[in-house]
Amino acid sequence: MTPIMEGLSALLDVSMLLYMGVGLVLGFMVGAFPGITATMAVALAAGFTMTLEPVQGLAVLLTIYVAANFGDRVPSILINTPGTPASIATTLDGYPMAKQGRAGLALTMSAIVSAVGILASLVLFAVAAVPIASFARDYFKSPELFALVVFGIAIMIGISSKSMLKGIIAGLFGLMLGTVGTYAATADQRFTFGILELVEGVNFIAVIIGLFGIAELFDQLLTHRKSHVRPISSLGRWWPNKSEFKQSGRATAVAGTVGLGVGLIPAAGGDIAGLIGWERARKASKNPEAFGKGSIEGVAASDTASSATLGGSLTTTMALGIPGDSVMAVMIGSMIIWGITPGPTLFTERPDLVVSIVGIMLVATLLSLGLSLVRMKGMVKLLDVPQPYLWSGILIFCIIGTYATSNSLSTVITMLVFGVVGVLLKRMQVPAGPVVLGLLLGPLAEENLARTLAILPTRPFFEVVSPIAIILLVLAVLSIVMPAIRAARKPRAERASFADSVLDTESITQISNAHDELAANPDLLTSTVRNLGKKNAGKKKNSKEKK
Amino acid sequence: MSSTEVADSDEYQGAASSRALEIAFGVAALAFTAGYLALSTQIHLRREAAPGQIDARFWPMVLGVTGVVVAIAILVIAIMRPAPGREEIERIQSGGVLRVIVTLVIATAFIALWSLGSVILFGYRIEIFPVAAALLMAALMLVYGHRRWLSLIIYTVSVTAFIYVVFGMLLRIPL
Repeated sequence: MTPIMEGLSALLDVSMLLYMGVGLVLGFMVGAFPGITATMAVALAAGFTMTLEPVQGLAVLLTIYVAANFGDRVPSILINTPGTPASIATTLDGYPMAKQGRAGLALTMSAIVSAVGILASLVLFAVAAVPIASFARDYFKSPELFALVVFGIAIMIGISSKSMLKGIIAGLFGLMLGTVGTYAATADQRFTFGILELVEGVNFIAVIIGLFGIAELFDQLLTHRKSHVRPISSLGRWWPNKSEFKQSGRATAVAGTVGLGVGLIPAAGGDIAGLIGWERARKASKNPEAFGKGSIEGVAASDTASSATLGGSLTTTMALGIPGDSVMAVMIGSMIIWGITPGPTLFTERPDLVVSIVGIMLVATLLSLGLSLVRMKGMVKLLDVPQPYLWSGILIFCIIGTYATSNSLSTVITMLVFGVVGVLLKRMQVPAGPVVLGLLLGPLAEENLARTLAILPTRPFFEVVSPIAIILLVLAVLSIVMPAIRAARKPRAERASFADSVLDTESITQISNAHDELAANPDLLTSTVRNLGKKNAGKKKNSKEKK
Repeated sequence: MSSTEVADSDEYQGAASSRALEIAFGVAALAFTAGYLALSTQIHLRREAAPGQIDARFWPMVLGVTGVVVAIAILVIAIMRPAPGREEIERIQSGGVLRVIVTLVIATAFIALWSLGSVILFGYRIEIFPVAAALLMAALMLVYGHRRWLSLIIYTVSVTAFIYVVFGMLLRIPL
């Protein structure tokens, strides 16, 4: 039987439908609840899927990943709050559309272009993954693998950190955690303090559930306040007409290309792609002045770009073993526990699994699109679920999920400790992504560094360290230095938010003006205009005062 | 057409910047990395590394030294420069810290209770987990401000039963 048939036949099981159904419901729910990220949901589910077969477990995790990408647009459009960071850019035009009574149209267009973006990215995965993996398998030896790990961590630091030094310390913290346990080469014990549970290292699942699940929960507990904002419930027309489809075509194409490219960069996710895609589509549009004021093109651009990163993330994860985003970092951790190591050899050892992954993503996308178009009205009600239900549910499932990985209460204690560490890091604006990546890839970096250093004295330097390794190390340095230089050149007041750091000044001004216009128009549906609009309004006021 | 009033409490509230907090973070980072470096020099080696090979101390010491350098840089910047803006993270609300502490206390009590496994009461062996999980859920709901008794009991009992049946009985996780 060919790998393609084997991979597809693994999906032809009734139980798969059940697992994908569970993933679909969970994904939509976590997407729709602001504050619960897809990473948190996948981390939590990873605890429960350990006992399943790899394909079944992947069906749950990948479906959550895909469905969350659809669900997170709902709060972005209806209450101006991104369900997950990937839908930050959706708020720019989605919420103004909702205020104009066109929420239904925004939700439908968002679902359609998200599906288009994911499907296009799956084509990219199918086309690019095997050549990339073959190249890596043929040319990547120990020095290149070490350089690749350093590059992956550096990119994650460069992208996720407002302060480079804090990003670096986060990466180092993760690498330090990765040294706990037995050193494989000599069987020496490191930082175990005589504790039996630490001999095999820090429990990865406990750390990620702590950092992404418990820390998020604690942050919500810290910052929660009574809100009077209700989702806009007048949704208006649902289905876009022919001219609206035509109007969105160019934006979808431009932003989709951006998303596919950004997705291939390790650690760069949908949040960045959404903002860049929105900006590029605005520049390519015939009506750039409408962006930020409720342009259907804007919604199409941001959602195509952020969704199109999924296949690229999957490509770097599966072909190189370097996670494409934080969800994929969690996924790698789960796969390693199942005895599957993502990387160049995966395509030769388990080609059937790669086919299964594409099949799962494809079916999950179509199911999510179907559910989005049918049940959008019902999903609006999710936004009204009282917080006590949500918080207590998250905590108990985090506890049970962590316990299920090892049947040991010490793992649960580890998770709670990392929850506290995670919330402290979050409050200090230290990103959790580099910590997880450091923990995951640290042992791989050490192993390949050891091999490189062992070979180095025996052969000429440039025979051991190839141009690929040098280029990767140079790119790693640049990925940290360049954003730091770019940030240093901006005035301090202009580096306040993530969106500000990605978008150019012209775009930020346009968004600010559009929000001012919306807020001043008494005929629109009312609610609050927050985040970017408010911050920029404040900044404009300050600059006027200075003048 | 639905409408809501624009209330100040609904506006996004960013956290205030704080130099003291930045300095405290720098000190904590330096203490942690220095402690790690000190411990890495104490790693017990069962045998010396062969020439050209690295031993179990090498990588941790590289990380430790780098960590100390970065932590010093963070501390110096925190002392010398104005505190960076923290608009990206939301402001801590009154009662927030207490909510987190109480949650941790309840979770710790739950783990302690769960670790007992089972108890013999009136001649019957009673498993602790379902009781402890129900108490955990109820206590958390009350702490988070839920005051409707009927929905509290229904939610608590149904979630506990779901976990016990699915994970304890179907997946056979020894709860």
